[in-house]
Amino acid sequence: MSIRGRRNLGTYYLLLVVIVFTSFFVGRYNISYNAILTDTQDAAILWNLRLPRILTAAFLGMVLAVSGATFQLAFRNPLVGPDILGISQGASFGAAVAILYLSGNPLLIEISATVFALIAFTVSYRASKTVRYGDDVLRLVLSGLVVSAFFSGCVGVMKSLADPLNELPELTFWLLGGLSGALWDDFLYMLPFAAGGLIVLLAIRWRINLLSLDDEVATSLGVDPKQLRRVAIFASVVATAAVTSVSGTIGWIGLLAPHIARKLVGVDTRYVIPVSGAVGGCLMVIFDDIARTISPGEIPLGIVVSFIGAPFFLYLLSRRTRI
Amino acid sequence: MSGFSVNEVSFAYNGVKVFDDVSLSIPGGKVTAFLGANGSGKTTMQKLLLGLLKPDAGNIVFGGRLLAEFGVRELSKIIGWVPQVEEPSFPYTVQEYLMLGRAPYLGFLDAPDISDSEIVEHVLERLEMTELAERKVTRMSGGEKRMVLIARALVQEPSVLLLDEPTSHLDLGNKSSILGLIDGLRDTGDTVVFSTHDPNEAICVADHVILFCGGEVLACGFPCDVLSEENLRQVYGADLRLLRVEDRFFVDFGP
Repeated sequence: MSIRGRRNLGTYYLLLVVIVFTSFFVGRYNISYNAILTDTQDAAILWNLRLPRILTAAFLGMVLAVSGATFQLAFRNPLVGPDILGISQGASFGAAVAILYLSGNPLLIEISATVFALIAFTVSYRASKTVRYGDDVLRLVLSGLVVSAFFSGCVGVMKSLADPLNELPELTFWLLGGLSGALWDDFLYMLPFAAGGLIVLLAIRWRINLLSLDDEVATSLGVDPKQLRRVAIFASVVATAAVTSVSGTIGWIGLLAPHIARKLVGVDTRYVIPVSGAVGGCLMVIFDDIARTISPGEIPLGIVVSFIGAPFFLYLLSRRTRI
Repeated sequence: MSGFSVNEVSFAYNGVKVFDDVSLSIPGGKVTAFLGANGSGKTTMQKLLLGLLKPDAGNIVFGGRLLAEFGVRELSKIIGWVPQVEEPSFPYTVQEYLMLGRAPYLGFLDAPDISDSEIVEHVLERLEMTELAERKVTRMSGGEKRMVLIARALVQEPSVLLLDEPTSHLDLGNKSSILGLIDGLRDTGDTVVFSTHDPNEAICVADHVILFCGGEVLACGFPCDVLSEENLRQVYGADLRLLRVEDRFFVDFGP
């Protein structure tokens, strides 16, 4: 198919809708199609458990993918994503603090996750300027690695402080990354931040291209690159923190989905941003379907994603031309 | 047709003085060459003219108005810049890359439309690059890359074009086509400023030459007046001879 044909955005979102709809009927508890309209236990499972979880998965995938695509442009670096810059780990730590010490109110979890995500981002960005090894691409990845490790360490401290009987199992499962506890409440608290971030990024999606230029060149084109970068990054971090506070740390999608999208539609962010979102949403819903069906007990989503994402990343690194 | 006048400008870069009380004028609607050795301040002067750098003292007047009064966006519709080096980070197609030149005309939430595509196509036709439209900017030769940067600046539809060493690191064929392109811009009435360290290029296409030497303007005016053996020896610190072949001068720098 020609690249123009592949740029029909409706197709990708139609696919996402189909996958979301199909996923209603995927699960260890078998539910038939006509259950949707009945008033039975089956319908209750669908509406109260599966639907919020599937929608959360879709948003999780969309946000991580769109944020990843944005970060890659903002840092002119095809190898960064929310998890690689330490943002997801920072958000996890913030959420863990709120879960243990701030009553676990969903809104407080969100805010705490956002604050620590912004701190983590700022530190890894600033620290990359002090790294004296490798080029800019590698420096940012390295400092992100350091910040991720630091916040993972902080999360480890939280775990050792948690009450082993009540709090620890819950925290641990959440930290492995999963949507098993995602109910309507969680979805609705996450939605405004996630959707808000997505809407901002979709609205400025062509302009994000300009971040790939040197700042001086962008300025000569009448653009304020610092302001544009700030808007784009802030929207990404807020949205990432919102979904992370529900799901825990989920890696890889922010890296994989934009690469797949660039394969499909080229590098113009006018198309890459929305297509990354659709691809990320589709992948995450499918991965979550796998997580909740493949074994009698639930496999944490983060583990399913890593199993598939890690080898794929190696494949990307080994290709001669990176995009 | 508006030119620049740079009045008693001083500028230091990270504490290192580049210009001290420098004045010069660039005529509107003409091709002006900034000529000088490497590190003589040519690039810094272009960045001052673009408003990317601000003078520490003195001022720059463009078309009768202080340059500092122009907004970034307003200026980007008037002045197009072709930087010396630019390595695209992602494999954009030429068409997509040129479209970035429409940014001055697009609001924060806008995306280019069909009229912007037409401008890009028009520039590609004008530079005879139509067949390159779908090529990736990361996989082009040095000469092609330079042409793409010039094309992007033209997509801005500026009336002033600043080119920073547009021919550096190019072979003779590519140099010749870039100089031909600059020569062609003269007919549109645009103001063109290009920097070079090769006096022969200035002789070929410039109406006006400004000779930079260690952060000072050594001379400015018509090429035939400015490019004396004495001036060139001072600029390059080498024993140079001017040769006249038919009705043109050439600089011989061989031993």
